[in-house]
Amino acid sequence: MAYALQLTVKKIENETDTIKRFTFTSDEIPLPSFGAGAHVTLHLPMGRRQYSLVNNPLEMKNEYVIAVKKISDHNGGSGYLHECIGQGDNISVSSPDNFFPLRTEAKHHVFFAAGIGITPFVSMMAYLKTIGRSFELHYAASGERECAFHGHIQTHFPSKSTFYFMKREEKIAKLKKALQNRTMGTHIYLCGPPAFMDILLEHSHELRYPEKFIHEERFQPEVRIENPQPFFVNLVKTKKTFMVSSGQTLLNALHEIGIDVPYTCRMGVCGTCEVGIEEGDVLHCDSFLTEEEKVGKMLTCVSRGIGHIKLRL
Amino acid sequence: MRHILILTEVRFKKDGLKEKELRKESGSSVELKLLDSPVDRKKIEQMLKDKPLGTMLILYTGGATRKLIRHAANSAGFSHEDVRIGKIYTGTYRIFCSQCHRINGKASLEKSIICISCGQHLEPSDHYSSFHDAYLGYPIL
Repeated sequence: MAYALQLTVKKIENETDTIKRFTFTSDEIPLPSFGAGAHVTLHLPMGRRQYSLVNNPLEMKNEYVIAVKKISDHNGGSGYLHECIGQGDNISVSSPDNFFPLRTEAKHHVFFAAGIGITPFVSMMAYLKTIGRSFELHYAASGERECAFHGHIQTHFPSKSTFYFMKREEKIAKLKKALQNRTMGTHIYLCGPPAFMDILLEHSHELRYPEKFIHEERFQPEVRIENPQPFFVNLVKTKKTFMVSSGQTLLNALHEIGIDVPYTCRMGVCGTCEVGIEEGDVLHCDSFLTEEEKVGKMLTCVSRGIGHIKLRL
Repeated sequence: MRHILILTEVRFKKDGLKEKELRKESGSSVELKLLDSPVDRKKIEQMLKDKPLGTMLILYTGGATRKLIRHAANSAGFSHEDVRIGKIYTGTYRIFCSQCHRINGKASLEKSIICISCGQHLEPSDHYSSFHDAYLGYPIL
């Protein structure tokens, strides 16, 4: 279980015009180690935000390094970090967690990244290079100037990296081609915006690659409800009834009435906020539960009830 | 549908061919390869190299060859569940005693046996352990 650490912002560097690299450290405690692909959760005034660690886990010098793309004003997490956080500030950071680990059984790792989706792979590639394992990177960005870690990747992994800066159609065609003709022992990892992920996932299905060889990390829940509707919830054990409004998650609503459901990712990935369903229909939006599990369980961070549901809480 | 590679020893060729036809009927792309005797690990590794992602390997071989191929397959990136064992009709099987864990060789699946180690009366089941290359024998009370 992740716990919060009080860390100091040691360094803030510009990675691109819209992406900053933040280095956190502590003079008082040794920071917990982490695995390649891990992330930390920052406790910000607007809520918790997860960011992948970009350092090499085998060369960690009591520092956590993340890269954040500014996609909001200071009311959002990324804007707050860009505009309101400075060197020397203190920040509460949960110890690292890893929902996107490297598969140790793989003989060859293939990474597909788009935009800021490069971050977990920066750490993974450094790790694999250190232990002498085989990998390659396919990295799409709108241009060299917007391409985070371009110089770093060119310096450290030049023969293993392909960049895709061309127009969208050509980019998609080339990325699809890079996915083809893969052989046993290969594991494929995807990280980037939903459209990028969906195109490559769909193509991997067309190629009949079994799902166990494809690994993904999403910035958003797998399914997004366009027009969320309010619903009523009955808690059968604590005998409480309440409404979840259209702009609220079930997890938030439960916390508001004092039901302390644990959570971590808030994106339907980790399964921490799972609850049992006693009765009712649910719109499942997670990428964690199996089809069988969805019959009796739901993840409160992303999934919603329809009309009226009863939960085993 | 996954690509399927069937490796069979000459003595089990019939079983391998039968499997091939069944898999073909269900729409899979199937390859069948006959193994030379004795089986050479390097040759097997070469055979398994560069197989399409998602390939399933089905073996029609005896126990020793099966072990050797499993190791070669693991080196080539096949996981335990990517390798299946075809059912071979040799007439005799290894039975794992659920009481004393002794493996009784050359038993029939149709008849109950007496464990050679503990004397327990055992009913052979169809629960196969690829680790032990044996079928589980339940005690008859």
